Amino acid sequence: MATIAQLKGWDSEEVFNVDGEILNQFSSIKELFGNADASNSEPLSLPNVSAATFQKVIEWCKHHKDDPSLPPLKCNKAISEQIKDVSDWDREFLHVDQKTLCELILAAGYLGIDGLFRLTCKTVADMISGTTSDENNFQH
Amino acid sequence: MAYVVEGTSYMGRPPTYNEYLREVLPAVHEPTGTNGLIDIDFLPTEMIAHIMQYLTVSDRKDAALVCKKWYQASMAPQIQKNMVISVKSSVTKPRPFTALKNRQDFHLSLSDVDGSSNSVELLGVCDRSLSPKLLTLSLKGTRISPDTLVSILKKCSNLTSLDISCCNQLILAESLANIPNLRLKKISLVSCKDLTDAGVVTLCTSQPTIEELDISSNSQLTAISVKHVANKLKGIRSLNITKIKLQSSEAKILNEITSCSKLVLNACLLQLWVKSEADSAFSSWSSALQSLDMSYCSGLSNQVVVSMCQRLTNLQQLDLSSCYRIDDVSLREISKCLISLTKLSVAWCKHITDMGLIGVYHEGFAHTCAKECRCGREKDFAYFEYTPPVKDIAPRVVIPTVGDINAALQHFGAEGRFPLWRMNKLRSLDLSVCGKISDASVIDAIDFPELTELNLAMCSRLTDKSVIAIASHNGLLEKVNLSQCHQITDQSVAALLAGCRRIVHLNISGCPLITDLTIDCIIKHRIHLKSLDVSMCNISLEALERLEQLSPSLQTIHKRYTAAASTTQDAFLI
Repeated sequence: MATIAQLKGWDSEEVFNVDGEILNQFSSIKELFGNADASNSEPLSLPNVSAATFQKVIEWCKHHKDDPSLPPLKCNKAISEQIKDVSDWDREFLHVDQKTLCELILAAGYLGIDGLFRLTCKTVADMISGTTSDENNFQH
Repeated sequence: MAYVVEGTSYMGRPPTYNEYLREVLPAVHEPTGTNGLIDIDFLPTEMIAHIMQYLTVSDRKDAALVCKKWYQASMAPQIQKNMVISVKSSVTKPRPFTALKNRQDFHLSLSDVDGSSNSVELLGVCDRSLSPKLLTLSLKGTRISPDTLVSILKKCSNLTSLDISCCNQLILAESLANIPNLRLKKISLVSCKDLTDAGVVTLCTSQPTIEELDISSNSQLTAISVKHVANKLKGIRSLNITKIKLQSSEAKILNEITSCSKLVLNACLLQLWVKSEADSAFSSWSSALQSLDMSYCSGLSNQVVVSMCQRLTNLQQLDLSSCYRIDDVSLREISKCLISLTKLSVAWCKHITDMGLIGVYHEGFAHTCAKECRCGREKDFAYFEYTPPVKDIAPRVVIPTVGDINAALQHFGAEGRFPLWRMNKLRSLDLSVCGKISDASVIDAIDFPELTELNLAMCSRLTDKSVIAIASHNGLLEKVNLSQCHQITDQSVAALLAGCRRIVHLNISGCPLITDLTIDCIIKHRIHLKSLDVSMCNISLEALERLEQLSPSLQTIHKRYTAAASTTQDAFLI
């Protein structure tokens, strides 16, 4: 599919060409590129996403481009109950260090990629759960 | 080392944080900071709060103790919104209680408040610093003086829900009227001895925004209260007037309650309606009503139920238990009109027979014998000071034979009848003590794709055939009560356990034909039972011990008077 948006991370000049299928998953910024022909305009810099992270995000989006849209979360049920079945691919994908994981959360939240956002939050939550507060110096 | 780092060697789960530190992190990354840990402080509080939504409550508590930022995150409104802080004044000291003032909008439940100095101090704290932040205040069963309560309530500008059930020293409705800022949405006044009709009238006038009102178990209240509730509280959605007796002539005031979606009229209507009243009863009840509890309304007749069913087409929950006058006619009409029901209870409606379950009714079949008889259940209504006039007694219902049922099926065909299974959204069905129903109808009628709860206690005519059919038709059952169905055996319970793998609560007490084979079957099928009642079954203690060892999920097991236990001391210990 043709490139319809050019994006880059805040920390490098590397430009990512994003096609429609992937852009559609960025629910919070896809409207920016409505009908415009992006091929000859300035690449857009994403203030909260680094180039390395964006590379990972695109990798995830490519793999999940055919996923059905997610059902909204019901607030009266424990959230972790509603998200089960993490695929092997996802588990391997998230086998990264904490810094990358947290950057992925930020990026997914900022770009509005619901599936990735839920998945990463759940991963961190799973790490936190089952430990006591003394062990749980996640950020110290 | 317990886990291998590479690949998916964590047995299908992500590594826990400790494993992560010990194994994954060093393997993936060269240590960057001190201790090899990476500072992720840049994650904003909102994100941490969002992540915390994925944790269980106990994990969240631990996580909140890690550092200040995580604590702040755990105090985010979206996490705290359903949190009720429950305080026992006999054990809680004022100091930690004062710390609650750092929280925003929360729900507080205070119990055990008496005259002790500790209680007084807690109420003082509540009065001084907590009141403006309260959303809900529950003072159920506490001894609190009206002055203190008014003083607290005057400062509660955000309070929407108040529970002062069983507070006997309060003459409270009058005091509530004098509080300018209070706009309650929900108030609970269960069993308040001093509550009078005048009090309810004042309450309705001063708090017109009430949406949920519970004035149950106040038998001193009369129709006047109900009338004012109907007139003044136009936005009411849920009303509970259990035990407020309404004469049949007064029942028409219920017509004026039009906005309710949940109505509890438990033991309210004890007097039989005359024909004209029955026709107009509930005539203006709208289809907004979703849940209706009319249990113990012994005045309810078939005629009223039929006219009610035709109007309340959106009803989802209906409880008519112990309405001993209703029979097959009502049940047929319920199956005909209320097909979106999710919960139905007709327990103790002893006149219901097979004909009702298969959805046929004909004067010629069921009510052939109009002899008057005394129904055993009527004795129970002595409690409500009600003696039924001799004339009103329902005619004796003849138990239909298999021949009758076949004749009826032939007579009405497929279109003319309205069997129980029409209500295909039903989740909970209670037919307990409907002793006249038998295999002939149950095999056909109890067939619901979503049924999770089934109660057939004391339906003693049921045999294995019924239970086997139920097991094959209702695969999602979770809670089954077959207590005192004398004729069922191990064979049918085995079929039930094989067919309904989700069963967690099973009651087969008082079935003398049940033996150790059933216990072996539970073990064999690995059913994760939480509770089991095998009292008065023919089961040995050894089998039960075996079960307890092999089923860690089992929380309660009732085993009084089982065959072996009766000879040992255990029977008395349990």
